[in-house]
Amino acid sequence: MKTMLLLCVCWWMMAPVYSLESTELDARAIIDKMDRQQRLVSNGTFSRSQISTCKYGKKNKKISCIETPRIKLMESVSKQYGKNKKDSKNVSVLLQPASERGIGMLSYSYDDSSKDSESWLYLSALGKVKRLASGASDDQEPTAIFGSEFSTEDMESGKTDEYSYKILQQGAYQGHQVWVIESIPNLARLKKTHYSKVLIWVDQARFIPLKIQSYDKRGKLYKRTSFRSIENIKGLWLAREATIMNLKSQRLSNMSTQAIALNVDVNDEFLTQRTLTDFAFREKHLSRLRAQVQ
Amino acid sequence: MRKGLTCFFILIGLISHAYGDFVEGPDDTLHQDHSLQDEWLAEDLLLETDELEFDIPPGKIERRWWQGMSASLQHDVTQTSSTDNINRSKLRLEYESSISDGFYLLAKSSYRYFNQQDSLAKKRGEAYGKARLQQLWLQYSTQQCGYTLGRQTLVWGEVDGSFVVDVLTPFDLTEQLFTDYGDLRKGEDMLVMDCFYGKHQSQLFYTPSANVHTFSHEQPHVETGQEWGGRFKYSLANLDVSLMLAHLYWNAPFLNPVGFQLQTQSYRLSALGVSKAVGRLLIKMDVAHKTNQLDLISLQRSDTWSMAMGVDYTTADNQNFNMGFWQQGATGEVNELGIPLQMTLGWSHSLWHDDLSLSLLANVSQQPQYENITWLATYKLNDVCSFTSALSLANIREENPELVPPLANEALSFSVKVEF
Repeated sequence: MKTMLLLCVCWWMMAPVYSLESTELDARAIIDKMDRQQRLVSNGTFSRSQISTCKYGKKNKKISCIETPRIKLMESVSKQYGKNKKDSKNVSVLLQPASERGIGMLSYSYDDSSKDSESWLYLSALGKVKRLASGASDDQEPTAIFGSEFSTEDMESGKTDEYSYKILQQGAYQGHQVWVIESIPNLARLKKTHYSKVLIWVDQARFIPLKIQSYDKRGKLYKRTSFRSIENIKGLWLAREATIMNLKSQRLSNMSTQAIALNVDVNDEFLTQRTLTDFAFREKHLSRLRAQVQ
Repeated sequence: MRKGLTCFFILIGLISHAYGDFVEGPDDTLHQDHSLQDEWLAEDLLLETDELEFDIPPGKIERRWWQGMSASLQHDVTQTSSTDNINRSKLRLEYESSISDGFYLLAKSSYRYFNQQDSLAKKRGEAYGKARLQQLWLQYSTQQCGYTLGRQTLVWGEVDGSFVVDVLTPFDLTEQLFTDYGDLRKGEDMLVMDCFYGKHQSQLFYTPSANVHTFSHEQPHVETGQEWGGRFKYSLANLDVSLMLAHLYWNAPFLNPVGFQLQTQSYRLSALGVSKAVGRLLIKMDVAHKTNQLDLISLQRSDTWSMAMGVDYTTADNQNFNMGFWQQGATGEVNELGIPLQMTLGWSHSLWHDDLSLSLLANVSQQPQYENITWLATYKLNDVCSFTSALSLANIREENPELVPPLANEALSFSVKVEF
């Protein structure tokens, strides 16, 4: 489940080029368009990502790690299925650290909130594929992803019905025209979230977030996420670096996309249990996908 | 024992202290600036450029041919209330990589050194070392099937910790019990063919000469023969069903009173495994019919039915609770006590950003008669180094000690591992 949601980072960091009459859109429409486009670009994606996590300190407005960061490196493949491509299948394999290398997870998630997601885990120490009880995504409390500051909630998409949105301001931010949109969870959502409010700086031209601030239940700033190294690949915009700072724990996690291939042809059989145990099969397909990275 | 307990609590204290140190940070030129909160809270500053500079070590990992290589160094110490103390070191080397299109190679070996204080070294009368090739196999993949040839492990069954169906690969019981579970398995030379057809998966295996459990390094060779079998697995939404048939040898050899030789015999296994996920609950079941099974008490042989059932429940905050029982009886008989032969209860949870893993496992056995409880804590100091400690308490009521697994009434274990 964690790895499946981790892949959503990539969706979240990506959005296609999009031009529109910005002033005609209300906040909900902006968020919906951003969400819809994120789903479209995740249909057939290979990525190699690295998450570095550490405690941080600040000196002269420069944020630095004050301890050796923990580093996780993984490769993931995902594809969208179902009506409106709202269901997803993905497989993730950890490459580093050495103690976790080879851990593989296959996850199927469904847009229908009444339908349980499905997950299988392969641990080399266990020597077999194990089905996991994961429940429906709506049923889960937010949890940290691989011990990082990114939580399942930070990665979530497609739950726009559960929030109300308001444009707080619009104007130039870091040289780009943005909307600053406030997102407030409804009562049902409030029980399942750690946040009372989220502010999103949405780039008006590229329809990607440039910054996100999340506030705790007492209204205090809790997390701040910055998106950097924004690139256009195959007509799609993506941020290759996302850094989340947890102001309570004074820890940060940086997700760096080392390699990515968008809209690639992913064999349906690759997104099955075979990939977890048939390493020769997995490497054969991955080497083909690696050759297509941008 | 008291000293051991003191050490255990000191270790926990040190871990807590170490964690506290990280909060302060080692570099006093850097400070954790809470004024950041105030700056970012002001809504009239929302559009001000507040871009921060990040100085995060890239730690970029290039993929090279030696990327597939890893090594670990481990030292285990266990103090027990009996004489079965453990004091040994282990070096493990592993290599795995795709060597050509469609071919994959894995090699896993270890060298263990048993210090003079170790119970196995004491039995031998001197410290000694032992190398082991745990796995060495080559895998080849075609359109629908994968073939794996070489020394490998094969695990069947859904209910963890029960040996209703998980009887293919024997164990090396000279390994420390709480070390990596993968190290406990004793690889066998075999050919395995796996074929995949959408939701169906079929598996066939052939072993020219079966292995048995290893209890000591002085164990004499046990004559065995060929093993073979197959499994058909079908996956539906939230349901996995497996049917298994195999011709196997007993993993636990017995001492034949005639000639005083360790012997094993062949038997036939027919089994069904089911795993069903219902929300946060995972229900698992293994049922097996085995021919020619030896009753260790009466030393009579009969066909048996065995069944294991288990449930896993994962809470919203990712705590895992599990329960299982395992029952076995001769065909046509009912267990005379009418209660499970083995019952397990477990809990596990990860804390401190997954740096600390805790688990508790209780086991109640009616035959042989014993109960034990094990508390396990693993702390990852960083990506390379980890500490594990375990406390195991057992109440052994069985009169025949040979029937009881290697357990002491009280045992306290520590392990440190460096992996890179």
